[in-house]
Amino acid sequence: MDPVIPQIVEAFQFGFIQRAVVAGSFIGVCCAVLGVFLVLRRLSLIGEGLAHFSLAPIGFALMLGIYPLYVAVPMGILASFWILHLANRANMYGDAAIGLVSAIGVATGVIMASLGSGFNVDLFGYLFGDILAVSGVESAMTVALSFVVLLLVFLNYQELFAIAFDEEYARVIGLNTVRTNQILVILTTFTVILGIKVVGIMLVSSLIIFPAVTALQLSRGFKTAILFAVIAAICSVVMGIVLAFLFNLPAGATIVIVNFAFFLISYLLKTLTKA
Amino acid sequence: MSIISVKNLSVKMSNSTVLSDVSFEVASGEYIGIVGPNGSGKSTLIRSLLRLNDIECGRIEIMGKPLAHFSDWSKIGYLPQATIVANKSFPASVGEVVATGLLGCKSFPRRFNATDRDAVLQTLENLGIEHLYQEQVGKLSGGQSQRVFLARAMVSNPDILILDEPTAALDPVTRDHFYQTIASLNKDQKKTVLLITHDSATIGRYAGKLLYLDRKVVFFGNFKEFCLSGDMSHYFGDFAQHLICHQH
Repeated sequence: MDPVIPQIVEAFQFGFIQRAVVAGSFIGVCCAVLGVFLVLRRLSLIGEGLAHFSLAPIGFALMLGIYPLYVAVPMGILASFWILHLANRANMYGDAAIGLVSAIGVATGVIMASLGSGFNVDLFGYLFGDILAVSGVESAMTVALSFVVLLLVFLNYQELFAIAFDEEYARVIGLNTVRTNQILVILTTFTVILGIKVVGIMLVSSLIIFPAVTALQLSRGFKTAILFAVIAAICSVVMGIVLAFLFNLPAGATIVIVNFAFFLISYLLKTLTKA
Repeated sequence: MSIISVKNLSVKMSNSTVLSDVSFEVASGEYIGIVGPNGSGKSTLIRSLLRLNDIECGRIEIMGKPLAHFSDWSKIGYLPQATIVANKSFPASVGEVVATGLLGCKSFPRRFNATDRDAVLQTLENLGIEHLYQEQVGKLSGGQSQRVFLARAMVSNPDILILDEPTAALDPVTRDHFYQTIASLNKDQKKTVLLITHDSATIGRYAGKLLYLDRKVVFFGNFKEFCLSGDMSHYFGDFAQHLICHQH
């Protein structure tokens, strides 16, 4: 067997690996940061719901020959507002609202796929991700949008923290919780739809959940939790891509398994520390 | 001039009347104990003052402004009923949680500075819990948690303190200590206090006035009047009223 280190060095010479690492890391960081807020508010499945819903706009765009993200982003934002509306105004539990919107998206996407059988291969790529096929333009767009997401989280950090800890108290002290919740779901929508390219519709919510739950095993302060989640996200993306390259595995699924390994390690560390 | 004015307030929830035609006024610096049986509308009244539920009709004014136009929420410190952190592993330190009480005074983008950190530390010190500053909030005992949430309510130096059953989960010693702390805030710092409790006898020792609710105002006056009130004798029965007032 060839030595591993030279193979890793060789891997990073390839442009497609470099683009994958850059795009994946930035998406991973956004997912990790938002994930800490979403997991603590028990909203982490909103990522799953929005990803599944995006099957419909992506299918629609592929059928019409439009770049899928141009349709998926605005439709995803509408879907996220729909989820918030159902949960807040229609006396529906949040998980039921997410399930409803996600099912409509998947059903519509499947119908479109059956109507236009020619684009099934493309749709498969969105279902399971194809980070190694990220283009230079997509990579640059991902980095730019990630900066926007992270800047908005930074500007709204105190509101997001206060609402995550005690939403009712946040309302009492005059914070605009409705607007902050809308900002959170819009940012989540952007991040999830960009994340679809990395790990696919089926696995994108894992980028939101795993780094956050990994960090929450070990952190006592909120900023530390975000920092740990970011480190876990970057490490899992880079290691996942490298392992996928070395062992000829699907990159998206490998990233998820590495994330799971990090979670197991953090869980064991927490258990051992307690003992 | 009254700091809180409630006129003809009625609140319905799921088509049932929770509060009916409630009127009362609170002067600046008063200490009001809001008492009444379960389901009497005590928490609904407080939540209506804080815009946490819709009102059917009536008028609420805070510091002379109608509720809809009142915006200076940092002048109100609120201690909610549930002060035990539900998610014990929530990664927040006491310092981070208490600092959220300052967010109402800040404009976007809200950032804390050294003065805010000093205010948090000073408030913790005033309540004798400065050593908890870096502790994870979910790991605190019931009494410690109660004081941390009181610190969050106090940190913006509010004029009005609204406390919703603050002693429900406390042991008798901690409860008495808590009541003394509130009494001292009212007496020494002239804070206006509205405190909900089931315990008419204990609050009678501390509050200047009692507001007895049972979906409507049954009694509003001081504890002596409460004990001598024929209406309350009729409401409780002579023996029960004697037991409440005897503890006094």
